[in-house]
Amino acid sequence: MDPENLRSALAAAARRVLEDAAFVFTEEAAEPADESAWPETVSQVHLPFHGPVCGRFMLAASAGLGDTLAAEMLGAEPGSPESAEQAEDALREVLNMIAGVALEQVFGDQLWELSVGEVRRVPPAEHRASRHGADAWVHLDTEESDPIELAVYLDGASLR
Amino acid sequence: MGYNILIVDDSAVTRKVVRRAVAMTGLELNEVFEAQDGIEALAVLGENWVDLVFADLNMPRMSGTELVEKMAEDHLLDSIPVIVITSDRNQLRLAQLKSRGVRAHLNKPFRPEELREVMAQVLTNPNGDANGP
Repeated sequence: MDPENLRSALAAAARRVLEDAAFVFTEEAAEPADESAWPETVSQVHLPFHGPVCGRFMLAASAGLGDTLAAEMLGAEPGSPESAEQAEDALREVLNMIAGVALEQVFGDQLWELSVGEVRRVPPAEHRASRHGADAWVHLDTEESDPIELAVYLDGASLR
Repeated sequence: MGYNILIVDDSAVTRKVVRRAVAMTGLELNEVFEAQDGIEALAVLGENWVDLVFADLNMPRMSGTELVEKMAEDHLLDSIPVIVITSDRNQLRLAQLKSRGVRAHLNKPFRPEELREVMAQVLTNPNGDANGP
């Protein structure tokens, strides 16, 4: 398995899903975001998967971007009580969709089980540390310069 | 009299997205029910007449696959069509679900017009695969 293939498939899947599901347009950045690009708390969604290869996906975004995603998906105003309440659910659902597209792109028509995504709120330094051990890492910037980072961690089958 | 629709998904956001897309179809609706897993869905089906079910697959407590199995056992699939809406793109799994009686599937993310087309085909054609050729 080519790590660059995994990374580019994850980036393409993320950009497509964000556009199609939430009208959020992104560009891929060459470098990961530094800690100052993040608010005090980073929302990480972790989504385990099981199949021919096992591991987990991770999506990181600000709570504000979660609110934006929820507002677009719900047809609500950003910052409204409804979008704020559903911000983490929107992040979970977006990662679920990205995982489905990326797994098909990389591994073809194989059987997978996706678990239910879990949200963790972590400080930027802890988020930065989560790059260690990732088999693929993608950094995207929205048009409003909000960072979105995605990673894949494979169990017992490191690509490096 | 309009259609009664049941939307089954553990994501409140997705339930709302499907509800909005259903409202945009122009089909006459009576009531739109929501359930966050298969167990809640079976409770709704036990108490209400439902014309069409939209079901996610990946849900806690009772998955969409288990819901379809239970509906097949109870002969509910004979009269209530199910459309699966899922991030799971595996063709074998989708074929297995259709062999059990699922009428169609939509991949997430979907466009409202895709939902409208599949929903209209399922409701107007009581037999056959609405995704078929």
